[in-house]
Amino acid sequence: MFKPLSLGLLTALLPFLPSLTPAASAQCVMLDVSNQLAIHGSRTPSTQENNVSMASKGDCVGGAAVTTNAQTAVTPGDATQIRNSNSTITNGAQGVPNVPGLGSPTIQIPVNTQVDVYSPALDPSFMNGLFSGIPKPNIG
Amino acid sequence: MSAKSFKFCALAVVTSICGFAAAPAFAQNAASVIQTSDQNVVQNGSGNVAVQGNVQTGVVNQLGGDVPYAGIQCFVAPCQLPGVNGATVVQGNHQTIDQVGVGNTAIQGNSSTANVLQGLGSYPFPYYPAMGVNGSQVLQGNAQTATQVGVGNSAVQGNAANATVLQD
Repeated sequence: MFKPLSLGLLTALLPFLPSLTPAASAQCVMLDVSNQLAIHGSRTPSTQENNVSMASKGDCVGGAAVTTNAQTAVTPGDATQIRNSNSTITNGAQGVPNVPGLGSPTIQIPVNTQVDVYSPALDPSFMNGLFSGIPKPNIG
Repeated sequence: MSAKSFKFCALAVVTSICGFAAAPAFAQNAASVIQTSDQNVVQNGSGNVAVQGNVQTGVVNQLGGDVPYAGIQCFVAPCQLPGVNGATVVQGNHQTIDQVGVGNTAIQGNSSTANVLQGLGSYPFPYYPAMGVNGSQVLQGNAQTATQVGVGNSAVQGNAANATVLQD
């Protein structure tokens, strides 16, 4: 008899369980997403730099710093892509009541994608070997 | 053939050869894309929101190959080539957000697009450079700064730059 009763009591209390658990803290988020794509006909690898700095001191409530970057280069020659991103949050809990569990460290999410592709289709010298069509003059 | 006419002909031939030999070696096969971006966010306070976005697209399409035009005799390198020249695309972006206070919002966006299309131009034998085939440069810059001090401020900045160069 005890088991069915306890099970029924637990079922009745389930809807109220979220209110019994600690409140979800409004954390701050720092998100940085960078995509760099270079497709080039030069046989020299492209220069791709993504310098990201994130800093947050102490607790933080309800703030967000989002930076995104997309660089695309398609060229028969060289490609250079340089990106610098700096994000700083200080006093992120300023003016917020000191409620336990409300403030918490900032979540930092850096996402970086770099693609460097040599494309023979963009390389004039390579294409010349395939589709010259025109007889080369005798040079030298 | 007299000696005078012979000298004249010889001079003409040398001039012609020198003309080819001194063909400007301007940026053959050198098409570069340079993209830079600086993004800075400084927040002092609670509940501030900063969003920065940057999109840079540089496309250079050069038709033609490194085959000297048929019928032209090139004696000394570099030989002039059809349809292959220099194109430079430079794209820059600088975004700064400074927020001091509570509940401020700043949104910055930048979009730069450059398309350079260089076609195979006609070859005006025996002159240089070929018509319609030359170097092109595209420079695009963007600078955005949002400074907010106080409570509940909002700032939205947008920038869009498009450049298209067509050479046939």
